Amino acid sequence: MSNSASEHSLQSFFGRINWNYADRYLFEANVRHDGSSRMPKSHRYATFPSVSAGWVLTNESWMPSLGPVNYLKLRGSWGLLGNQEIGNYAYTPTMAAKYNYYFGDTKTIGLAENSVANENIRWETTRVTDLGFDASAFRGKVNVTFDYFDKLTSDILLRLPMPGLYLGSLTAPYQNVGKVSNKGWELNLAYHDMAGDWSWNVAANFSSVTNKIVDNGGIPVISGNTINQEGEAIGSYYGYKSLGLVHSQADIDNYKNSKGEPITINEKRPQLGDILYEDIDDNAKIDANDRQIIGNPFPKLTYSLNLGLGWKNFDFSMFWQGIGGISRFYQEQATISNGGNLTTRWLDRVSESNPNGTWCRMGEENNELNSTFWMQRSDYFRLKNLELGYTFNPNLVRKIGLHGVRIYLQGTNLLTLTGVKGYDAEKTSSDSDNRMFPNIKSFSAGININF
Amino acid sequence: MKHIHKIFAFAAAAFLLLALNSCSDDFLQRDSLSAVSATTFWKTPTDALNGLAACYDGLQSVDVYNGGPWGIGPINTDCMTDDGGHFNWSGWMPGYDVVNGTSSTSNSCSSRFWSAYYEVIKRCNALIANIGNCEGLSQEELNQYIAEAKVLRSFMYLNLTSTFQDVPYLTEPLTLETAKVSKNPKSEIVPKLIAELTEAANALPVEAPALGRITKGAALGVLGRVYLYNGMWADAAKTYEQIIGLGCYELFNDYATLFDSTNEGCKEIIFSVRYTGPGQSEGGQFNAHWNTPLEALNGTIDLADAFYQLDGTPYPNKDDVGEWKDGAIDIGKPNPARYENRDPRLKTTLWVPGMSWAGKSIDNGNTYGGAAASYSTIYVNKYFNPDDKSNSWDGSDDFYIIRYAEVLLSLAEAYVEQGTNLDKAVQLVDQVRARVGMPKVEDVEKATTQAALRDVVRHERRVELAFEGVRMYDMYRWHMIEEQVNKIMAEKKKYGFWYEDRFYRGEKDYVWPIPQKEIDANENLIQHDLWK
Repeated sequence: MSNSASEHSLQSFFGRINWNYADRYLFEANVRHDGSSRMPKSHRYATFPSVSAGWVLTNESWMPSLGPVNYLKLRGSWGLLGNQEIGNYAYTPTMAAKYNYYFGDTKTIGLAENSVANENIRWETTRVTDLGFDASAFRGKVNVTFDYFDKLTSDILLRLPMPGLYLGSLTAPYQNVGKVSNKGWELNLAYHDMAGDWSWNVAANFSSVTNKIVDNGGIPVISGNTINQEGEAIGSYYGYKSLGLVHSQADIDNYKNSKGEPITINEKRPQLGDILYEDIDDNAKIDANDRQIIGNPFPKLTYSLNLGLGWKNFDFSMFWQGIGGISRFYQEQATISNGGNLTTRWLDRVSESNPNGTWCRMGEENNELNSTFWMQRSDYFRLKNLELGYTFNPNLVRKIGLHGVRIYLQGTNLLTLTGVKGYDAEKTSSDSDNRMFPNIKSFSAGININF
Repeated sequence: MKHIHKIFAFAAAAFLLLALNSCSDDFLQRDSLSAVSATTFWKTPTDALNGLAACYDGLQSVDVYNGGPWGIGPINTDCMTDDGGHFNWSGWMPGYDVVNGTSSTSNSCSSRFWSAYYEVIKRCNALIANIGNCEGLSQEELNQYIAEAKVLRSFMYLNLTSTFQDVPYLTEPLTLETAKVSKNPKSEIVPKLIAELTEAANALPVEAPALGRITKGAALGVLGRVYLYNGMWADAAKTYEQIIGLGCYELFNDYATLFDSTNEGCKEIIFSVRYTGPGQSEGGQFNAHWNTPLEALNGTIDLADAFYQLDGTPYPNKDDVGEWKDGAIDIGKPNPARYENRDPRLKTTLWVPGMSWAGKSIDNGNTYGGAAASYSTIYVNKYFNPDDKSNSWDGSDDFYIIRYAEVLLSLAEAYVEQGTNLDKAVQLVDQVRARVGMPKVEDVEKATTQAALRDVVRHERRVELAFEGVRMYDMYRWHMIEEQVNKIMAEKKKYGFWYEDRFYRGEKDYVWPIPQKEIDANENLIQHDLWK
């Protein structure tokens, strides 16, 4: 059993001016001044202003007709946002009474630090600039929204890896670290119409964002298999570049650096079926210094599609979602001496009898290194939800004393278009060795009754 | 202005409220409801004692001096030698990849060890830096607490410099700004340890205020190891003679029950880690292991046969380990008879065929099954209690870091290496043997030369102290890793055991690499040359 209690407080002062001229020119200015108990006294308050302006072109009397376009608004905004999500007591070191010890037969309470604090922690701020338009055409049947955004986050609150010398066995404290830029765009398209007994709608959303570390104090921060380095995406994959597998003795013989020295991988020469790595420092030794950026966890494009169709009392809808331009890790242990299951990928491992196999051999730890060998393109387009329903005639159901009855069939994750085999393509990027429980395919049938 | 339809202006009058800052100060000051703020600690004598307890508590980490297969505690470091191995559960136990010669700078053995040892150092440094603020603490107590913390800290550095060699030598708390420190050469650290331990030994009492607290004898015991591990034989001898001269230590009469909790206060124990179980959250993770001996930690035949017969001669037959089948020993059919009439320390140290676990033995069948039977047919027994099935991983036996037998054998080694007091060395070994009824050196080995006595002393140290966390350090300082790897490989081959291959990579196997994540997080920390 365990108990805990915590509290935090937030104090905000807030002001707003809103101006609308003839439904043509719109202007708004906000300012807020926030104080948080999560920040030390010296950095407790921060001010976050924002302004936005809009221009409804279609309301201008001088505006000529734009054909089917009946509404067009251009807009832009600029503002600062604050973030203080760092837990409650990040700036004060605390001690816990759990480091007890028996001196003789007396249990002596032991107190030691159980959190490492950063006494100079500050608010994280994000500057957001947004330009976009809203348009509507064909008497509102078609709607388009577009935004271009440029976000610059400064003083990012991160648990930067710190030396164990300093932390001992505790977790690293939050620090305000550098600047990260997110630039991108988002487009929403929607269309709906009806004719006779039919009605239909389509909505699509596309977005793309480029993430880049602008300032990281000049020092790359490596944390396990990821790296934060200026000019690269946050959490970029950091590992070895695979040059392919050893299929023959000739592959081993040819694995040399530019001076013709045979390359060793963590002191060992590769064998048949081993993964060969790029020797980026050309010293004929593959070791930690040969790690490089081999990708990042941000998809180039994220998109979704909503389709709906109605006919008389029937309704039908589908929701699809997808991502494109992403690679993820699908790692497995190559050395298992104590049981455990493996995928069928291993059946095609390279061996004397299968020299042209596509998979690495077992029992070699060097093959487990975080490398592009384990990376796989993981784009997908998935039917997340499909539903077919029928609503009974309200007059009919009222006779039996009900207000409405609808029956439906529903399925989730019914169809996935992807190149990923054996695993769920829709997983988090941190899940390199497939521990996440995959999304399940499900079918359900139901009835909604309103009394 | 008539075209202006709407103007909303929520006045920024709110900002005037800022003038009332004094009340918002209180409102926004929220301190933890469940934890003590470090800024209000170190004020009273109780704080000082609580801080001291936390320093000792650090020794109970599974990566410092606790048991279990998960960490890199003393039993696991012994499994990195020719005494034992994690032969059938490797792949996750820290250290397996080090002995197999496949470890990289990211191996879990060195990273776990590093964090846990620096955690103890951190707690000691916090005490030493802040204890002066505790009002009402007597000068005598203040000096004593500081001396205890310094001994603990020096002891941590002794093990760190014996594994990583050059490490950052920190004697005060680090801050976020000063955290990225560089290494100090081992040659610079060792004299500092000697100075600190000498000073602490002078400040500490001979009698512990309570069992578990560091005494003058414990400080000298650590100092002796510093000298011994660094080949400073004359100083080592002088220090160990000083411990004997204190006159308060003696060998306990019964080796078989020496490691039981009932005897943890006996006069043999110089420095121990307190464990109090079960159900106090203070138990040790040695103790029992359900239905069978702990299959994860195996002893070797090589160690079992290092326990000689009662007449002091080695057991002659190397082929009767068990029934042979297809050129290999059938580990389900070992030979218990060969372990009879041996040095009594054998069955305290190892769990060999013929012994019973919770009433079960080889005679009635399934003892060797377990979750995964030992590939060597032998398990670790020291600190395990086959009769106590209910308190798995929550035992009450203290772990002995330094006991009097080690003092005697270390002194014998120092004498032998000096080459001057060989007869005294013989007497010391005889003294240790006499406790278990084993015959004298003069009657069996009849060794008189330095080289012959060196073998005798090293052998005695191995059988007396197996699985007490000293063997790995001995292998390092005696430069015997290659020999130990060859022995294990020969044993694997001879008996057809399913050991994983061990491999010797040369000098780098005498140094642990600084954990890669430490190097990655600290640009001032440079990897050891052999691991670059």
